[in-house]
Amino acid sequence: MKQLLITGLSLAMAQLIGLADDGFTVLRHEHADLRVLYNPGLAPSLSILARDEDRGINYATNQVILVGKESSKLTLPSGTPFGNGGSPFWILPQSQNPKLLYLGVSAEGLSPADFEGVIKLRLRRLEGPGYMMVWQATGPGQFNIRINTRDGIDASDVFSTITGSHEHFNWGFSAPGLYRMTLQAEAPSKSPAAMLTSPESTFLFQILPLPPPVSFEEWQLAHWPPGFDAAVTGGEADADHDLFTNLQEYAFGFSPSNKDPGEPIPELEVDPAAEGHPVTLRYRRNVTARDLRYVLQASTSPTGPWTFLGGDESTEDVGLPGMEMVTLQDLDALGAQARFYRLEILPRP
Amino acid sequence: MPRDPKSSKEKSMNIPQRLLTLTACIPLSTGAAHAQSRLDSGHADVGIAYEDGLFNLHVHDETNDIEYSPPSGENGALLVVGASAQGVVPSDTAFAFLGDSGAPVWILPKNQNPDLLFLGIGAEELEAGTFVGNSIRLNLRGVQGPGTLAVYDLDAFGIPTVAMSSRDGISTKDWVEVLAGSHSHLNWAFSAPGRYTVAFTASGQLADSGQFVESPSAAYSFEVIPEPSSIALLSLGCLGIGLRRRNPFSRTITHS
Repeated sequence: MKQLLITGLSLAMAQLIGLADDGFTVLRHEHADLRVLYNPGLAPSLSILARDEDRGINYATNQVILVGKESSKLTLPSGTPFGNGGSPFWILPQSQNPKLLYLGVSAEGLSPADFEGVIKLRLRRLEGPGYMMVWQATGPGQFNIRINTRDGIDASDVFSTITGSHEHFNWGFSAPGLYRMTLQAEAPSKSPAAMLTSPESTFLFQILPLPPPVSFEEWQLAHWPPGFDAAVTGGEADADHDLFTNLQEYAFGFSPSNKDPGEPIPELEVDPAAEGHPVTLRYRRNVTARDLRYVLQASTSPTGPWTFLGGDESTEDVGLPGMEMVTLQDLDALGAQARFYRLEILPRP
Repeated sequence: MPRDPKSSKEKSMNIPQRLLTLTACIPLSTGAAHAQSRLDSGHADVGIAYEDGLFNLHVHDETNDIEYSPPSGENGALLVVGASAQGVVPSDTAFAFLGDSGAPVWILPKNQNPDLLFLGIGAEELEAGTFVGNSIRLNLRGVQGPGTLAVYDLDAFGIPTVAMSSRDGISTKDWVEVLAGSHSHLNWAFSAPGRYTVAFTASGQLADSGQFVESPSAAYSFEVIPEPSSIALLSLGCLGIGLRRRNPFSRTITHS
């Protein structure tokens, strides 16, 4: 009898939870604004939300992903401050293109009865594979640049608007990937006369095509907004109820939002007629994952002890970015009465 | 009532320049638009709604959430192009549609300037699914005033695309696409100071019947303010005209 065990970072059974797409939205081509809201009361405060203007729905930072589709990729002309001429640049344009996200900055949630003066959204941080520039064109080769992380982030990286209004901008990214943009709003309140400041709010951009994730955290951000429910996004959770934990989905290049086929991993091929090595094992490996290592093990008992299964392995492309198929033969399988295998996936220090 | 766009257009194009100066003087001295609400800053939209089978074109003061319907007239809005909107036509040939290089031009920009009216085109009141592709058009039907109007966009690198222009006449090519539930901002360029009446229609193809529908023309009032030095010259011009009204030639001017 042959038996397969799949071992993740923990053997704990994943808890069944809600669908992966419950509770958040992905904005790809809508008219959306990053909107400053006023929360009056005993302790007046500000907050920043993403508003789908097409549907009139507000989303908190952990409920929304902002997408720059592949069709947003342009080639920079020469002589601009955005990069070298001929370089690729991903631009969500200021002028609406129904096929792309149309992203503005809004103070429509603030009334002139409560605030006066300029409302500001300051860029506090940007984490991503490239730089981001946000600007408006005022003429040929003339740009009003609001955000430029190419030269670092300082007080000049700020959106300024007025109560009741909003503006649109060109949002440019120098490389595809995941960008976490942290903003903070400030607005001069009339009564009491004070400058109100919002908490820092981090929005996620996915600029496509996403490169293969190099860490589980990146893999999570490729599928959920930052700060989304840990019961869904955690390593031991099984977001799509296919009995693969999220960590296993990450390790094998599966999707946490689609039930993946429950094929044994590793795959076994047993050929009793084969001379010498009748058992061949195959499994998918995420080669870009810097935080994982795969250890194939064998035993004569399901309870162990387990020994490392060495031997020459070969790899082949499986047509998925960052994934490969590993093939290995069990040199000690011949003559064994029972043989058990398991693939242990361990965190890489 | 909306003015006849064609006759307005032809009339404005045939007026000699010296008479245009008088046209610009009249609103300043008569106060004919006193009942209108002057919108000279903040955010406002040329609003397009479709209710009970009819288009409604109006002005929506987004800053104060006030709707002016009809958009002009006694209880309408006067859309003011402030003096600081004045610039010159760029030398780049891509901007020749605005006039000769270096010529003055007054632009309400698509990028918000707190000193100027931030004028957009809004179809946020249109429900998705009403029109094919959720798309409607705002069509330019007439421009009456001392100069021309061009409405244009700039791409991410500052290259212009003209959506409407009265400089080369008004045709079926002068329109802006607006998506239901959304709105857009463009540059509104006027070639001379003074009062303008601009006529628009809205049109689209109904999704349920396939019928093409277009609204009647709706008139919008603009006032383009010259720089203070120009106002002084204009006042002198008005004084001169006032004196000259005593001779037969002045009546010809007044009539225009």
